[in-house]
Amino acid sequence: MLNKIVRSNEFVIFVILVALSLVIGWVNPAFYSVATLFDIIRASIVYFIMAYGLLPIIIAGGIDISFVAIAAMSSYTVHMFLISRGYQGGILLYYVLACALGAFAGLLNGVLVTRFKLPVFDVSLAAFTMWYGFTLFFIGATANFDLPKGTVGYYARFLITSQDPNVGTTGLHESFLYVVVLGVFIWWLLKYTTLGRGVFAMGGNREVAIRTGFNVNRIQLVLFLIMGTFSAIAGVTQGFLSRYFNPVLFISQPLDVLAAIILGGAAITGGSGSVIGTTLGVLLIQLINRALILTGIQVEWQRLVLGIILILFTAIPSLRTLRAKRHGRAVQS
Amino acid sequence: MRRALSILSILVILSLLVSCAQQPATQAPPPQTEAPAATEAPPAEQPAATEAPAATEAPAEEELVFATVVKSIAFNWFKRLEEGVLKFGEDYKVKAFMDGPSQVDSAAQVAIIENLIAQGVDAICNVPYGVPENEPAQKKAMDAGIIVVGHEAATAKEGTLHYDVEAFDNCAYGEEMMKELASRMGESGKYIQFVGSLTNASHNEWQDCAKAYAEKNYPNLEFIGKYESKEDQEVAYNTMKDILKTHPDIKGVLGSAAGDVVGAGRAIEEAGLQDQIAVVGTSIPSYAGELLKTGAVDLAMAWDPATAGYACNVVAYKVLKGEQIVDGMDLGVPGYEAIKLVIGPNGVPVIYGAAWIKMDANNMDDYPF
Repeated sequence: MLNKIVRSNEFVIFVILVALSLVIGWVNPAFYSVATLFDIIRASIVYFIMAYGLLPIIIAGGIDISFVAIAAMSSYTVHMFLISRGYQGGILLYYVLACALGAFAGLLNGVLVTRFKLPVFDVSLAAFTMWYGFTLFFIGATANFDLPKGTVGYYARFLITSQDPNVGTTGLHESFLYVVVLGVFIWWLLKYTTLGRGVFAMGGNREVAIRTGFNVNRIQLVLFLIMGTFSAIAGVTQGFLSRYFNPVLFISQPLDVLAAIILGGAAITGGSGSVIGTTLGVLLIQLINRALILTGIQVEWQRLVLGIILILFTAIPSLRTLRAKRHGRAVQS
Repeated sequence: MRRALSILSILVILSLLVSCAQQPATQAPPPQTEAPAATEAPPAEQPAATEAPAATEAPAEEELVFATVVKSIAFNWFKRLEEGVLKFGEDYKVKAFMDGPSQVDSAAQVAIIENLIAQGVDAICNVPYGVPENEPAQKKAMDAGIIVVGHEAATAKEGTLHYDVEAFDNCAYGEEMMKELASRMGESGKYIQFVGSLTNASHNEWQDCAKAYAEKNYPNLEFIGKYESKEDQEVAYNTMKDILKTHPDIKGVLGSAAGDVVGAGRAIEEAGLQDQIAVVGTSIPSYAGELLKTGAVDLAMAWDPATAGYACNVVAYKVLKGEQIVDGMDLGVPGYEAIKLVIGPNGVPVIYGAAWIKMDANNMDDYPF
């Protein structure tokens, strides 16, 4: 049992995460504080949510990049609509409306993929461009800073707070609860439902999955529905955390999320991946991004260093997989 | 087979990761000296409204006609520029109007210029989307006896513009930012810079000149680093938080992209350090307004497209009337009282104003954009 844990991808990522934290803390002791932990979690919240929504699609053997565009479209559209109607209420209506829009956009992807037998990536590429275009052209192209009265101060609603001598009060933001709930949901879905087993079967071998009796079209529709809904939640959450709504929200971030999922042990060809691995992958990407500032590496070097770190870090689990194969061991999925 | 596949997939992953580290520059299209990108907001419902008022009415014999052509009429930025153009028309008693494609497109812009040549306007002030693509049309207009003045086109080739008008010299703007920051820092302490990206030419020119100016004039200022905000406030916010941890004694922040000072200002405000840290940078009230009021952002600097549009037409007017444009002359437009005349990199004479505007909590309401 212990042996199995030590051999798992998740464990390797976890060790790397700890090692990197030790190095950063060694260079800059200010890193070791509860505030740092809360800051990193806060910056990761939306990436967790988007990654959880995307993970089942990756496991089922598809690659999608349109989730960021759906997040931007649903959050910005709902915001501009409510603001134009003079809405001054709370945050709940935002989530309800945005989830509906996001689910619709996700389903549209799903219908195109299942009905017309199009590759997931091709459809997502088109949807990525289309939704950003739609938002910019029909809804608006400027960032909007007017928030309804009922939502002012949301960015500082903390579950627990912590005083840091340098950055003041930070805390574990309320929206971390969404991350927990959504993460557990995806974990349960993948592990304990027929649908979840079907997702792994599809990613392993689609033909076999069909012959086994899985309704792959229905599974895919559900996955895209989930992806669209989660993206919408992430978009609205980001809007309130950063106190403005942006029509090109996350436009340069789809690869960060994909990279996190893949770092977390999901195969880009499908068939494997886990919620825990994805969580660690998101944290690792965040930590690498921030490590460079915390350790004071010159910004001109940042990209080079980031690239090298990423190559090294991806190579380690991959090398282990290759070696395991050479030794004829079954690869843990 | 599987092995080949897994090796292939690793390669794909690596290339994905490396390319993700390179941060695609997808966000803001506008070229070099463009304002804070997001100010150019197309409210999509108002496309061709202003299009071609002159297309139908033939200009009266005695009345001079000044056309201003912009990248696209669907941007708030150019809506503001149009105000300057119309004001010029009133002040100088000429027919002045603005025109441009409903979407940024050099070909459509060239077609509009050709149309204006055919109509025989007296002067064209052109704000080209693509400088090289507009050059042949500008030359054609000049050959037809039309005065052509450019804006945001300092790199145009010799003989394709009579003059080019720029709100300011990038280097002078950077130095001005530094002066404002240094005076708020008591001329000593650590400061950092934000740029939208390390490849954005104007952002880096501002900040490099600011740094050089500080090294020469403020020996007690200590430069810590130039950080990329990736044109994203959230990145600026997170970066600022980490900088506060790494350099708790930071005293000043310079921003370049419109969101830089907003992100940094939020982190500073949450840390309760708005009185200890000076924040100065390019931004506009619709972005930084709330933080300007609380003092988390001390000063937002920008330039006003309305005065640029006005000045561009004034230059055209003076050239048309045979007046000599000389270094140091006063165009009679705020910010263009003592212009600097230099030859641009490709041979076009370039007129620089000092037309930056400074906005703080007291005067921000005068600049509703």
